[in-house]
Amino acid sequence: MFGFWHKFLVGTVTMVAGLGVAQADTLRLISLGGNVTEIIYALGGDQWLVGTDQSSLYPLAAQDLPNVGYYRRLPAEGVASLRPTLVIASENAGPPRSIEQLRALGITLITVSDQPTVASLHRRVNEIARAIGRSSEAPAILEKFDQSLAQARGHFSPNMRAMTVVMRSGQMLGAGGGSTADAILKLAGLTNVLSSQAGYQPLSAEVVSALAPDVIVITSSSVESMGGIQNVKASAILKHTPAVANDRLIVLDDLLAQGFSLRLPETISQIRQGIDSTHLKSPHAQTH
Amino acid sequence: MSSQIAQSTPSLLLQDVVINRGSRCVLPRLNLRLEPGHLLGVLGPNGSGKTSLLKACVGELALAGGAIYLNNQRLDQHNAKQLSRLRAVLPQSGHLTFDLPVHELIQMGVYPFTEIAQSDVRRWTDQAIAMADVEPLMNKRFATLSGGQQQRVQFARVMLQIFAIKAVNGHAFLLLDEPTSNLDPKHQGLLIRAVREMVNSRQVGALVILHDLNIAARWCDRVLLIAENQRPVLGSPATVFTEKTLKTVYGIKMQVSQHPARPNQLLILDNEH
Amino acid sequence: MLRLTNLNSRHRGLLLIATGLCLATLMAITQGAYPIILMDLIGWLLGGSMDQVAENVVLNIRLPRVLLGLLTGAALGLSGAVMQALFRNPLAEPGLVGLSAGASLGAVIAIVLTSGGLLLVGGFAFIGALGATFLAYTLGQRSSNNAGLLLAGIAINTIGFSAMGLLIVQANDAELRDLTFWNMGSLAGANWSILAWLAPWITVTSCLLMRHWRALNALLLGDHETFHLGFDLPQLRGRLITLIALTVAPTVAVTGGIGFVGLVIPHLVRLWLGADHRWVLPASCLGGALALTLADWVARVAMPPMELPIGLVTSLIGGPFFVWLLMRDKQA
Repeated sequence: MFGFWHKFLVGTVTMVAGLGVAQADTLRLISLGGNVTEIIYALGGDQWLVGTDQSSLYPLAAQDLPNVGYYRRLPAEGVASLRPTLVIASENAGPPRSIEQLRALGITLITVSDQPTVASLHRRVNEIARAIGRSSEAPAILEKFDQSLAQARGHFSPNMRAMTVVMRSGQMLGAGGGSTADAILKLAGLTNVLSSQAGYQPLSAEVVSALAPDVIVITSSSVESMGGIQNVKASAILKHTPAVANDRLIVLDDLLAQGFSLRLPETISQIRQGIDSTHLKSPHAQTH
Repeated sequence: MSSQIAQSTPSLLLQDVVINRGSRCVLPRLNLRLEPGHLLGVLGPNGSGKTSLLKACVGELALAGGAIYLNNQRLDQHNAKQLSRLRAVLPQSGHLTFDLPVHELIQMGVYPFTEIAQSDVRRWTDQAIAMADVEPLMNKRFATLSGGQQQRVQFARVMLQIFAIKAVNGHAFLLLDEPTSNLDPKHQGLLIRAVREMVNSRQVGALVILHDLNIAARWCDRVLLIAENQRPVLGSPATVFTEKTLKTVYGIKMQVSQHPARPNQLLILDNEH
Repeated sequence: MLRLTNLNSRHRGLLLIATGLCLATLMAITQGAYPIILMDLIGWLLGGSMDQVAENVVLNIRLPRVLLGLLTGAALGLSGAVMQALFRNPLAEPGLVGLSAGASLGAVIAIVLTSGGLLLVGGFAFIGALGATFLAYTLGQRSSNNAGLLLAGIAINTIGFSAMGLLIVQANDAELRDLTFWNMGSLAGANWSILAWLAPWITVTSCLLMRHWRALNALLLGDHETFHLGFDLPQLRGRLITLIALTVAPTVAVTGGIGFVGLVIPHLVRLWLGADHRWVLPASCLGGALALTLADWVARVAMPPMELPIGLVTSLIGGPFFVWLLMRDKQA
């Protein structure tokens, strides 16, 4: 513990002095939570990463790192075995016991804000930047983010009724209030017809017809599991919606659809494109 | 007056006992007293209530009337543990969920007596094994034995329990439900002789349900003949086994004569055409 | 002469299991995701010193976890053996008859409706376990073969998990994921304060259960014989079911549901040492501890740094074994 602070102090001092080189090789970083990992990569912290968790799927390179499993069920010994000097975890990581155990082993574990709000994202970027000694990079990233987001949101809000659906174990679920998908729809200027619902719940044709969403956002893996966009449009639950009638089905990459990350502006603009598009085929989101 | 006698000697006493099976009355008012040194045979056609009587004496069946006393205490006032230390029961047939080796099954006879010394247990076990003639079966598994062999193994277990009860109480009661049904003539004889031997020691009173009239005639001190819709008949074999009574009870003609080899004994044969 | 040899073989069997258990425990303590050189560890065990972090890993993570595995495995193995005799059914075990579901439901109710302190959760888990076991027993009695008991267990498992689902219908995605993991069981929640009460508790209830070996043997002969040999059947059943619930419920409250240990271990023990409960009970206890310790070791070292849920490991092994049992069990 003392060792880390010592290094951090030295690192900061040298940076401030303009030498700009932290004691990079002694920092062993583990990132827990997809939203955390993405930011670490954005801040250039990936050079120190020695391990991540199961939900850290973006960027692709993260998937090649040692994987400690589900971030809400962390194996303390497993995390410790990677000999991290710093662990940055989503505030949702757990179980509390494992977090305790890691700290008791003398590992510096920092939890960062991880809620589906822009404010939380800002906080997260700043907290992570501070933790890895890249505080100077944070403002630029955030400014770029804010600008892109504003651009993507545009001046007008489409103010349409929308919902996000996913296929899970053969069932079609809709994203209710409080979920990341809900926050994204709101940011895109849409009204989530399912906002009064708690979390992800199965959908019924009757309820969906009554709610009559103008826009439907669906993840690409869900489309795949249903065998293509035509099947989605023909599905009993969705086929009577205005969204299908007007061909406003937006297919998003899974990570874009369910992660509240720095790529949010991209997500928003894809949704907007899907709404504004007058083509017969809805644009497919593509990973770059 | 009967209670005065009861206070002095150990006994199994049935007073005005009425037993129902469902709505049917199988035993209307039976009075019976069994003391150590006596072997009582219970006979009758199938379904006449013999097993129900045994179950009632064992404490498994509630009475519709009257009371049963074991050593001056009402049967229902004994708990299971106390009963197991006074009497041993050999049921008609046994079944086993899991297969136990024979020697372990026999050892179960001493379960009511955790305080007895191992040396005594070993000695009695060997005696019981000899009495039941199951030495050659000792290392086999129970489920692999024939019906008759299984019966003999259970008999050894019951004998072990009787030895233990005798040692602790001075006397014991033995109740057997058709113990000879599955056995070949040799082992039938062995078993009933073993029971007779125990009874002769004056420390054991036995109640045996039998089908074979001749075995009953030869070995029992008294017999109880029960049949549906009839008053039970209790007495020595000579008094009970008359052709008239047997015809009434069993519904077939029987010939009762003197046994050719043993003058004091009866020989009963089916005399239907 | 005959009996002397038999006695020796039983003693030998128990000794073998105990030895295996010690070895497995040592292996579990010395191996894990965190790399610790065996020589260093042995040196430390013998009074030397070791790297601070390694020492912490062993003392505060591995050791409590291994001990929890021993206690839970012992509880499950022993309870399975007792259940199989009590229900007169070789397929009975805490998971199958719904005891774990009942305990889980109780625990979840406690967590949702109360603040969820350990005592409350444990208490609710116990009540749930007791209720579920009684229900399974009563329902199972109505039919004379295995089917009744299994169906009762399926019914209770279904009801238990549905009820839990209902309670958590307001839960978000993450909590649902948590429930799935909880149902697969985990020894990761082990710490010394839990062990401080769990260890004496399990020890006491296990000893009380093992004292009933004669009664359980008598049960093998049938209800009537059990009575003839001096055991009050209703009292005995009530006592055994209560003790089983008391033994298993706390472990479920701590570890979640771990299945198949209670089913497989007593069977293996019976195959090897015979059906006499004098040996089956302690052997199932030790054997269960051994099995779960090994399963947890597999869970920890199979795909480092990840840990597999332990219920997954026991199901992967226990499931096929269960199928094999069903196929060979002709005495249905």
